[in-house]
Amino acid sequence: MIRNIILIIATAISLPLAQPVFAQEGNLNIAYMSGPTSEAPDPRIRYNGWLSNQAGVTETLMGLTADMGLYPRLAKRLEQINETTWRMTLREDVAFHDGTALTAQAVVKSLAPILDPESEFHNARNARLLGIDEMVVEGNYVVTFKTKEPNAAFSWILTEPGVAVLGEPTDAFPINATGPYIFREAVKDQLYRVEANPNYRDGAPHIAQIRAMTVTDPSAAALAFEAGDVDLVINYPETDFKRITANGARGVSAPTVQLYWLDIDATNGPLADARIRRAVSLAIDRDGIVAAALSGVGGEPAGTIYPSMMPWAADIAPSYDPAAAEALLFEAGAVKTDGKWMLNDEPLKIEIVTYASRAALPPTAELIQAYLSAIGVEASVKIGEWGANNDAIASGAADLHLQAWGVAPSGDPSYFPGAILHSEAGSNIGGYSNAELDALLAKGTQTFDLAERQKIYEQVQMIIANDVPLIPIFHASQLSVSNPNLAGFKVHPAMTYWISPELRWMK
Amino acid sequence: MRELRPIFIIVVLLVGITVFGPFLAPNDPTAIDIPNRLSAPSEVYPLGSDAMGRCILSRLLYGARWSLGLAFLVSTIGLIVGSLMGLLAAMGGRKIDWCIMRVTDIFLAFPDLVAAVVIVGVLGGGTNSLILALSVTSWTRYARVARGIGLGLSSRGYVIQARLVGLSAFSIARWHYMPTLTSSLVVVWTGMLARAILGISALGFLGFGVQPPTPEWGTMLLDARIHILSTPLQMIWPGMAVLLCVLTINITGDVLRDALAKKEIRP
Repeated sequence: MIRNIILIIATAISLPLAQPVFAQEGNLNIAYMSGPTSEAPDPRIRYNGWLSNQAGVTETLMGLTADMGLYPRLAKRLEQINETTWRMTLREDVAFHDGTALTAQAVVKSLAPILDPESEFHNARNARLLGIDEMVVEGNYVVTFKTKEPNAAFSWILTEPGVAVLGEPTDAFPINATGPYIFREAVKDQLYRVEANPNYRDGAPHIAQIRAMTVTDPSAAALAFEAGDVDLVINYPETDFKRITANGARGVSAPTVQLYWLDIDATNGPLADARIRRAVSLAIDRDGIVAAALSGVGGEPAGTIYPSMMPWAADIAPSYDPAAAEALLFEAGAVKTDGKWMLNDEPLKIEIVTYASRAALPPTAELIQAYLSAIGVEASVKIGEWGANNDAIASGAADLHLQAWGVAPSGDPSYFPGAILHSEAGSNIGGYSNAELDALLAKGTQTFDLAERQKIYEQVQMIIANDVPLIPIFHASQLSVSNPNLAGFKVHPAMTYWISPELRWMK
Repeated sequence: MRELRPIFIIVVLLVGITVFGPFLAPNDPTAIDIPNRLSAPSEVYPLGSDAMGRCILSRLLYGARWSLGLAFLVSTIGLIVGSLMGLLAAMGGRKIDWCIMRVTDIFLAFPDLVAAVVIVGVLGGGTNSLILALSVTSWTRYARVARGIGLGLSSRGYVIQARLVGLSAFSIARWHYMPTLTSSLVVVWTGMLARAILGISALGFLGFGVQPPTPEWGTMLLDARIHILSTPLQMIWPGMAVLLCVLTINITGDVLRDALAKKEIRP
């Protein structure tokens, strides 16, 4: 009875957020935490490509398999000619939504604005990752890419949703792409609506229309699902996953490349000492965090930066050893007095900052604070905003910044350590500097042999484990809940794929 | 004054919980117990445990000190500042009156909570920001009441005579204004106390209030929000605490107002 009353009140509050549209046969309503940035969000700009790729509108030249392997998507094959030259042969059966054929010329025309700083479609991040110097067309279906320098990540970056291949936009097809669904409408921060592409090369999709609605609050999304306003919730609250699936909803979950981790101020304060960083890492019970903050279903404890499903993951298990942590504090010169650790005659204090836009962050920070307090380290938590938290780390006002990142959204291992730990990286907020690591990261981006590359990133992970420039906490899983009659939905570890032509209603 | 007796008992109870709550708590409110998380009410956890296995009753009792204590502090700061500003407006002449009243008009033009969120957003979350934000937005109502009554008193013969014999402004305020103002301001104060409890809980629920793991009713509601469907009791306990306190304080204010009105009517 109480639950019903709460449900009615909360549903009444959440309905305006959920933009209710009653599901009809042939339609699919999805609730997702973020939404389009404009009325016709060009996939090449910022992270717009994520939503268009997820909704089945755009496709990339290369794709990622469910186990994060590489496969040719719009390409038929990709050959490496030498260290800086790649020859791509395109599929010949691909057409844009307006019916024009996908050709080598169209690929070059689509990618060129991404690289051009003067273009309104320029994407500095993807341009830097691709590192393309020149694109040469050979006939209708062959493109040769020349990179500025050897770039082992090149083929992987072609899976990045922002590197989608687009045709000339028209009034009927403002996002003229090649996917199984055609973009029809976007309402900023509210709705992304697509319709089935009847001429898709593998046959028309089964579902006529899909509406991805923005519901920023996971609890509101759960209530909208319970009320029947949406058929599929991407990122369903972990806390309610067991109950809703026990009640007949279809639960789908899989590990993803998203890592929850602690960025460390490695230049100021107590954590400038690697022994104290190691002690902090050893004092954290990651199993307890997964059980409490993720209800035991939302992730796996992390011993290293890459999730185990990736070929780059080194075999480093997460360690929880409070006694060893205390021994390291003692070795670092700290003294335990009345149950509290003192360093240089002052209490050993650690300030943890985080932000609240991801539901699991605040409780995880509280648990870390509790685990540190349990060994006698005085820790405090402050919930702020991501940018302000980075400023606090950079200025020495905070010691640890708990945050979430996709460590390899394109499947390539160089992205995360290169962005966070290289001494000259723009996102190296904590100021960590290690010449050996810098050299390995540089070598990793220029090594093409897979086995050799794996060895390099294993060494990178060993340095992270021993010197602790950051502390991995857990690899998040994506939980989704759908109407039991919806078939064919799978969670992809890259989190950039939702809709496939196989998705269909069973009734 | 018989009708005030139950209210008096409840107020004593609330004050008692605020002051002595931590001594009554059966457990450490920040101690986590993962194996027993989200447990139903039991001997160990009389109101159950939260997502981290912390005792909900203990957190409510400790949280009372923050929710009620901060509300008391904020509304009292508002009372002192607002009364002084109101008296100044009433006694300081036209120009000062005009200036102070325009300032209160500007403050009153913003919804309290929105203004508080902006202030806390600029200053950053935390207890000090919370106290400042709610105090800044709460003094205006006291100022208006004090000024309104004060202006009426200014034309009274005993106030004019006091001025003529050379009594200082402080003495006139102390002996001729305050006795009349006190009862009305106490009634306003009870209303503002209830609003402050709601404001503190709302800011806590929005993540701007007392920082974790310190227990506070609004942050308890925030933490419990994602468990609304699976374990609704998580939200019900802190919600009930806020509801009962606000209701009790509002009823107290009404009863006080009626009692004081009767006293004024009596010949």
